[in-house]
Amino acid sequence: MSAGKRQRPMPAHRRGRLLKAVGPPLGGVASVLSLLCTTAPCRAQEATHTPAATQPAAGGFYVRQKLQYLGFGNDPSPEQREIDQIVSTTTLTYGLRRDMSLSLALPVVYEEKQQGGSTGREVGVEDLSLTFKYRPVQIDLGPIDSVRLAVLGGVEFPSGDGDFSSHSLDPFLGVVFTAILGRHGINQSVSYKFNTGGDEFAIRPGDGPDDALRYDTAYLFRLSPKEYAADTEASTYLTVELNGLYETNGDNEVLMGPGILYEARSFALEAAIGLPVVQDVRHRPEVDVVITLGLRILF
Amino acid sequence: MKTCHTLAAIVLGASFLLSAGCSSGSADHAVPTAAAIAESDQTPVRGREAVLTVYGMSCPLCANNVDKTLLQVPGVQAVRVDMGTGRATVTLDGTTPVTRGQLARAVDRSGFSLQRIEAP
Repeated sequence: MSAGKRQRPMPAHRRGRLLKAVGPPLGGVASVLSLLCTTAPCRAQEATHTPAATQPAAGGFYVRQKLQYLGFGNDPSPEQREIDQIVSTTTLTYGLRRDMSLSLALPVVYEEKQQGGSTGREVGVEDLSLTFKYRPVQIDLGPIDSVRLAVLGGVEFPSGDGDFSSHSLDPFLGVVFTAILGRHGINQSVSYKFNTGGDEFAIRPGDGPDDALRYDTAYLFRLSPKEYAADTEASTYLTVELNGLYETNGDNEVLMGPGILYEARSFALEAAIGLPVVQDVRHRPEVDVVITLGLRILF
Repeated sequence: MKTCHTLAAIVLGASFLLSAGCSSGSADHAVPTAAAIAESDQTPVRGREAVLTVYGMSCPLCANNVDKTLLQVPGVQAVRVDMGTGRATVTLDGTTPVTRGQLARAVDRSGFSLQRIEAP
């Protein structure tokens, strides 16, 4: 079989998921294992933290597994907590039509909290999110070049898991623009979440009781190959992202950072880092750093 | 205040879903008309191979979407995609008849834009 050629029967993919909410040291290990063992599909040309106007084919689906480390500082709550989180987010996306898709995301969190000389460790399930994406504009200019615009809407469902859940139904709406021209790609996204509840001392950005406006920009540059050919089996991208979040209580935070994306025919691997460049936060802890590893598999 | 937000969100969400549903027909016109014309083409592909020119396959995963949907067409044995030229070479098994329309619909389902089908 020549390079790039696919033949029947399709190889069967095995799926496994080892994520279990277990004890403190094992929480992170379980998350790592879940990252390595979960198989599923992918959206292409999508940077790590910024959505893109892309989706699987009609009837196809992909799974994306992200593992994030978040370090927080300057907690304004009376407890003055020092917090670290490892978040494992599994996202399933199904292509309803060529221009419509539905995604379900399940975030599991391992958290270490230090306050008053003691350390607390917890594992829990954050709110689940269901996202509907519709792409009314797609202009394919050439074999590679494409310009797309999608609208998205959805809702975050309460997981009901103690402090990890907002215990409220929070809808959101947004717009995503994607342009791919040769080796360059740009994704631009704006979304607004109507928070109908939430903890006054929520830790994660956008999880408090105030509404949240998320604005994201990503630039992707294809490092290799310089030119696609008949035998191209994979490509590697350098990404730079600017991820902002404004909350209606006045908090505003922008993270910026580089990343790398390796895309093969049926899977992709990604890694990215986010560091604060704008931080005007008074109602929740500041984000010191976000480190993300990810795997996407296309079925 | 929060109730207002919730109501506003529900109304916006409903209108968003309605607009998506109502414009489903027009969405098809966003892709080149060559694809729409070819989808109704019942002309059988007579040889063992057809070459499809597809636009918008900007990455390996995109190409895989095209691979998968074309392989779902009964009678398609293998697919080879050249991302540089956008050409997808489809090999047929020679026993099950395949029409140009079937190939065009498969590319449409993959989410990319069919420009041309070259086949005997």
